[in-house]
Amino acid sequence: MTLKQPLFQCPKPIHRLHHFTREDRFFIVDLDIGQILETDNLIWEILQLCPESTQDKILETLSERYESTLIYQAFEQLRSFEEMGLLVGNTGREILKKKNRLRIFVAGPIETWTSDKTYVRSGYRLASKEILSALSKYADLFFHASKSEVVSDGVYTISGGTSRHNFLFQLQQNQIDGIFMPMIPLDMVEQMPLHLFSSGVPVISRLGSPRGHGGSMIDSILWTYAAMNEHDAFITPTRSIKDFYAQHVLDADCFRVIPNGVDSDLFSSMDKAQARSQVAEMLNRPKIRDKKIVGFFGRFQPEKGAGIFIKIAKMLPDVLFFVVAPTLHAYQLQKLPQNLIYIGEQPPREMLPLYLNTFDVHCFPSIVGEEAFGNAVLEAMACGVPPVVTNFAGLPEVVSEAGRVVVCQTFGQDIGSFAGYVEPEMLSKAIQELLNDDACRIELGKRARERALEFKWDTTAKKLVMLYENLKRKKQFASRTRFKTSFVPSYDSLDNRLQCQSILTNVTEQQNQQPLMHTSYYQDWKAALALTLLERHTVHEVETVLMHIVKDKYSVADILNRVNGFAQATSL
Amino acid sequence: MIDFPVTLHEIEKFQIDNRNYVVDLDRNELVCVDLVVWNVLELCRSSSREEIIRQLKEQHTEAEIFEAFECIRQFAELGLLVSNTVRRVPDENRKLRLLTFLSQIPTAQPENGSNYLLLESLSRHMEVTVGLPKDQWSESYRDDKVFHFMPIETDLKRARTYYINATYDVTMAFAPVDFGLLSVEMNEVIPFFSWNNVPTIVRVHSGVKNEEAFINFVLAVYGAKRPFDAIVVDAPWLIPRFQEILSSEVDFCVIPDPVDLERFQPYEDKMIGKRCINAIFDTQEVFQKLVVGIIAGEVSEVNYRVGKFVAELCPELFFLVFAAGLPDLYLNNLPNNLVFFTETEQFGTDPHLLPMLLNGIDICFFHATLQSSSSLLFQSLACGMPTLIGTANAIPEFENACAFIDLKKGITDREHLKRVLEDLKQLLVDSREMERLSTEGRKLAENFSADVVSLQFVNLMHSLTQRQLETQSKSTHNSRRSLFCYNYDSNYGSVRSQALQHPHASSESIEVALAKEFLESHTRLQTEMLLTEIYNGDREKACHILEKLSGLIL
Repeated sequence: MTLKQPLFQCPKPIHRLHHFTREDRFFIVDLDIGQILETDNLIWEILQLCPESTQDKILETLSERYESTLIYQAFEQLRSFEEMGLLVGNTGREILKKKNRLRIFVAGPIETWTSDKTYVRSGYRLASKEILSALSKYADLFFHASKSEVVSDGVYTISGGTSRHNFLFQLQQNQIDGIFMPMIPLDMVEQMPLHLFSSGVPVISRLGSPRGHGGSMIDSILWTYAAMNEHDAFITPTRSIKDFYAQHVLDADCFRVIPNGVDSDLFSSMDKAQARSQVAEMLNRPKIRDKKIVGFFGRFQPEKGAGIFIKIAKMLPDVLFFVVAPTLHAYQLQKLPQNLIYIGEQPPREMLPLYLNTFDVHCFPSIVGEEAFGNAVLEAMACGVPPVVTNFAGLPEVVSEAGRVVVCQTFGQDIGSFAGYVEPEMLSKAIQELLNDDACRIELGKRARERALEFKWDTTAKKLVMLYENLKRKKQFASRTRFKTSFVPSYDSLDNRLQCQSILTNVTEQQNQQPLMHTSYYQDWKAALALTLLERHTVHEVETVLMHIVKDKYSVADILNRVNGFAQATSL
Repeated sequence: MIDFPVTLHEIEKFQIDNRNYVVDLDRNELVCVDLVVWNVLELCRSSSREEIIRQLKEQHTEAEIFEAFECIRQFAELGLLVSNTVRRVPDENRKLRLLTFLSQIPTAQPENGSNYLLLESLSRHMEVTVGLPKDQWSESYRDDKVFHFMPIETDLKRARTYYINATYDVTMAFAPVDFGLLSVEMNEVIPFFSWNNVPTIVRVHSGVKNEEAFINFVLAVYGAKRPFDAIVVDAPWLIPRFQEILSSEVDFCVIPDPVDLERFQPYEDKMIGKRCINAIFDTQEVFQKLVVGIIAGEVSEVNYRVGKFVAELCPELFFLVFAAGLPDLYLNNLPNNLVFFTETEQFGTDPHLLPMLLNGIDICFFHATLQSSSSLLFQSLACGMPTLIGTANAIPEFENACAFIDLKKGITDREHLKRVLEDLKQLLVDSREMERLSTEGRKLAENFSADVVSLQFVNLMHSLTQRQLETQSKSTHNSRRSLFCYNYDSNYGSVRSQALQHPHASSESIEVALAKEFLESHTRLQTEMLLTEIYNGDREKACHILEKLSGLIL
């Protein structure tokens, strides 16, 4: 019999499976995915033969007992299952077992990994990609996708349902050590399930943008702060972000500073004359060879200081002002000064060092709320270009002594995405000083390169891995003590009024779930409230509630210290 | 806490590669569990918690088993593996099973007579088990014909394990006047009520020395009690007092202590009583003057002041003040027409002593407060003693049977006492009214026979078990908790706290979110107390929130 070519091809590996019958119903359990399928015995028999036999052989073997039509139908059904990532295929589990590395689930789309960074415009997205790339050298990464498969060495996708329970099952089955959130979403609804459902696995959330988006980013971060457990953490590239949030929250220690890196192999110094000559020819602008050049590198938008840059250009008509940006945005409709040159559409990433090396000075006037680190500054520094930046956000930390830092005005609250303002004259003055002092400028350029070499993506990844190890240990030794608290009315006959007393039970004996006699203690109702909430909420949530009630940070800190200390002292 | 046995979903269990899997076919979900949970699941359909522990304790520690219980409870919250746990429904054809705790064996001896009388009459309608401290236990108690006795551990921390073992339908605790007994102390009210799902009756007696401590005890019980528990007070005048304190209605039940109507009855010959008084106090005045009995409460100082004042004001009457425990120093230099009866121990030795004493009294004044024992009142009514009740609130239950005088101010107010004496004197000369009060008083007391009272308790217990089943079937656990977090106000550059409801992230006030959460694990009164504190004493705001939420929380 000629077999019509089915789309289900064999041999192929199958998942870990189990089958059972219940009355007349036949079930197969896909243990790798955590799904239960009601099917029939024929499917099971095919699956048993699947790893070793071709489809023809399977057909031959089974046609003694089943009609070929039924077998074809079963193949068809299996093909559908395969497309859904069920029952068959390589989940990477075998590869997984051989390596002894951290297993990190990345809470983001697989495209974060697979996308081409050549034309990525967002520093944040680029940094996400670089971190994941570097992390994959030290940890296995897992992404959620429609199918379970091996994407590349150390990178896998896992499929499964989207229910909370199935997510937990997947974490467990794949022995996930930690969850990494490369970007905090603005949509809180995505947020909350992650920390609630992480089942004790540390979750590290990366802050790229401390502010901006009209305050909605801050809200997302504050929501994450509330939902996170004691063994979770934020990472932020600069201390300034941590300091910003320390104004508003008690537990600033959950913000860990792990700087970004820079690809200092790609972004490196070149002979400036040669670079200029090449660019001059490419742009057909001979002046580029001879004039001093101040560069702008980034999105040419008002909040990135584009308007300031234009004003500086007008102040220094003898200097060329280069704009390396994806587009001029609204400024393309304006009459720009003649000494301002836009190189055109953003070139591919590999070409960027060439343009950066033409700069004598890199001017970075950004005061956007989302500014966290200034990847662009570091990339230019890696090319040996001294920066002139504002003292906004983390820029001074990045630049350190390897550039010029100009004081800007920081707004108490954002206006749109604007979080500050810098006087063009002040930037212009700093630029002029550098342009007029060749020795200083050259020396600063060297320092800039050296400074940039301190920032490596590899180091970022290693620190991240170390943080996961630390958090895992913290989780290991953490214990959630359960206390039964109650609030009883208490009558004060002198004042003829009722007040609230609270009683804590099971202080010294907690093996039994039932509250026991003679282990009860009176306590302050706020501490009792905190202890009650800790049964179902995080410490940060309790902090939020207490701040609402008590309104004083120091008092809240005192209550939380007492409660935490008490919980630690009485934990089993 | 999860109770066993439970109804499981349709599940399939299997073990592969040293892992234990459970398929929930009703939910189409797969879970991986540890061995302890696996073993508990084997047993939990048909065994109680205690039986499960007993069967598994060879393989696992108690802590592991309790953790497994908690794991299964969490699965139940997720809607996995376990249906809503349903408590065993009492078989209608079977007697209710009552468990109570006492500090010593109840006897027919008068000093704890009313408890014994009550329990003994209850035992005719239900199976009564009395838990006694181990050091009070004797093997001979096993043969008791009336009660089942059960020894409990001396270490009271473990006392409640018997609740685990028990398959009782109702429990009862006696709130004693002094808190030295086994029964519930104030800071242990919560454990007592949290133990399991069995309805609990807390029996509260009037006649207390320390009013504030008593009030706070009852408030603690009231705060802790669940919808299917009950506080049963022995006197109706307790209710207005608590309503005044709580500024709201209270749902206490009123069931007086049973009166032994055979012991306490009117003698035909009143002289027997008078001779008794004479014998005890060695005074002839009891034969020469009308005798007024005064029950003013348990506070010695009050009794003394009241007694002295009325005796000096009315030398033509003889006053017998019931003042248990009055120190001897108060008994010096008393007027001839005043005696204090202090020796309650005597009642214990001679069951007829108190009835004789009461029969020797011509009229009684009873000050209806927390501090006055209602038992004494009912006993005196049973003896046909005409009674004037001083009360700040009307007591409709006694309308026909007693005379009343409004006593909004305390009994030690002299003007009030003068009015009391005037009323008493008026009554004493009105023989028809006295006769009527005597007859009606006795009739009223007949409503407090052991049989009648025990039936009231039985009916109450039935209604509580029914209410408990209804509460259980309605209850749903809201596993979707709010997220308490900061919200950034970009206008001010500051943060404020909010509660976000999952999953739609809609914002609500912290107070409302707290109220919702607390109502799941605490009683309404407890939640109200907490909210009141949060609102800096504004109870109205707290009540307003709870009113809005009532009906939204199942």
